[in-house]
Amino acid sequence: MTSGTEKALIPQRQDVLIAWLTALAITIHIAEAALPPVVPGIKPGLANIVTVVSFILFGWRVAAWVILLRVLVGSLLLGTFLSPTFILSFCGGISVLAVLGLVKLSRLRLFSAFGLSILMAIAHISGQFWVAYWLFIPHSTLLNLYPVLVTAAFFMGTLSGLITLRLLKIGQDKINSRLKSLT
Amino acid sequence: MSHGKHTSTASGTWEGYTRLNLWDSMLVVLCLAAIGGWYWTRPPESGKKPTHVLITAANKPTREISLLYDRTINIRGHLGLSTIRIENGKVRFIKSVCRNKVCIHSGWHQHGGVACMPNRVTLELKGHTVEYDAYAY
Repeated sequence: MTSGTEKALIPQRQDVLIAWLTALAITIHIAEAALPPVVPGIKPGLANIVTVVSFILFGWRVAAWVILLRVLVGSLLLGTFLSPTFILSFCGGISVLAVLGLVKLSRLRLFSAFGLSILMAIAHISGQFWVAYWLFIPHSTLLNLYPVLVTAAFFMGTLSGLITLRLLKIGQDKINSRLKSLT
Repeated sequence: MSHGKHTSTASGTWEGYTRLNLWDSMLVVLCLAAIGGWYWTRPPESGKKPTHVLITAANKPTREISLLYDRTINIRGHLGLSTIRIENGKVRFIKSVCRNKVCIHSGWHQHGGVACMPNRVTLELKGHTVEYDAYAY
């Protein structure tokens, strides 16, 4: 009993891993929040890179932790916890997880990191958009905005996809040696 | 690929993700086609200036107000008051209870519309909606 409790309280390797990835994602998230919004509602979403890399290297579970913790801690640090911003961010995260779940369950490796990045960006904005439409402003004018947002998401997804590919290629040897030391 | 332990991904398998493949290109082509298709089929924006603003606030019925006369209007939204100003056929938010004031910073609007999400207030600019059945002199 006691040993069971103790065991549960010792941070496992995976916890440390998740903590590192989340810290990275939060840093990107907050740095982006500090940028002046050029167009309201559109931001680079580079934390997407961390999501995709987590999923590719460590699987869906780790990616889920990283996304949910980033949304939670990011909102606490930015002071938007439980505000509409948080709800939208959360729903974006959930839809990304849903799509990643489908990717995992399908067992087909159709897309590379690049394609996944684009999918994630579009999933994120779509989840946000439909929740915003459903919860906050069920107004038909808002629907005109959806294609614009998806266009932006596509280009941001392309950008983060290219960065992810480059990152994985540059870090290939390092990643492999780290993965080996983890197992 | 990963069963049980997180890093059981056999060394090398993740590298498949670093190569662009046909599916990626298909996704890109599909996205570009969808985006292009949407812009292509979009009805051209009418050059007419809007004459009315439709105000919708927190599930209350929409009000239609003429843009002909300059005025300031208070709207009760989900959180509290939003104040809009109509001037020279344009409209903007000038006061709002919301936190980030995105609605105010977005400035004057002459076409399309603007919304304050936290307060759930939307303004939509409309051309002539009045259609006459008959004219009488």
